[in-house]
Amino acid sequence: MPSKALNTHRKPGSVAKRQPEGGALPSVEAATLRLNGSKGLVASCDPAAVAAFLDYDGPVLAGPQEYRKPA
Amino acid sequence: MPGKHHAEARYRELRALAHRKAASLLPSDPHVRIRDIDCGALEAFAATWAGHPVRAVAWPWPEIAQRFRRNYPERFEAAIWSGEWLCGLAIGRPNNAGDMVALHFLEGCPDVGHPLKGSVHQAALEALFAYALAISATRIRINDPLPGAVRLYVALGFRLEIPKSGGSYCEKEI
Repeated sequence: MPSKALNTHRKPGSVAKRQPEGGALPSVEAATLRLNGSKGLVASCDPAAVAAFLDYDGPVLAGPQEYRKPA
Repeated sequence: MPGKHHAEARYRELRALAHRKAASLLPSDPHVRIRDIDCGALEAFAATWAGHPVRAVAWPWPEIAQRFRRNYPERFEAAIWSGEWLCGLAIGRPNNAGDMVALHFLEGCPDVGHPLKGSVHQAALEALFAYALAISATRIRINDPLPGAVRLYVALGFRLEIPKSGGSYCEKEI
């Protein structure tokens, strides 16, 4: 069985059907503005709540625990 | 519909913006760099991670990166460096609707002596968050989180979902 994470329900090489800005590719200028106005993920959270996240020193891992090549 | 090469170039530019933004948010390592998973990253992976005795998984990053690269111009990817030390790798993609970006694979350097110990999670999630903003997605997701790390994601406002179909993920509205 192929890994769930690597399954594709879309024709390989095609681009996602929905493009965020009127059917065109996302605009670099608009993205720059959005990023310039962003504090980032951690800074936008409650400082007390993120302390544990920032202090975490354990393993960094997310994804399928097994990996198998697609058939 | 844009051509694949045009889309590839545009999303590469958007990832670079997101990488720079994420790197600027990290605490004081002047040598930190976030880049796409390029040849240098895959060479460093092969040289220092692939055969590491305490590595927790056997994910073949060259193959994973190649598959995402071939199929998903809009993919998210990040190689997290401190100087010449490869400290983290992450890859994922938006859903078909384009409103959610999921992290499919995230791995920190198996050598616990690496210089970004304790910061790889933050680097990867800030890059994912920034990329989602860049492409106007409204949700970010971490697929198959390590159970011991779920509480960290919850602290950042993610909620844990365990679908009946299997697997689990943490998701956050942005």
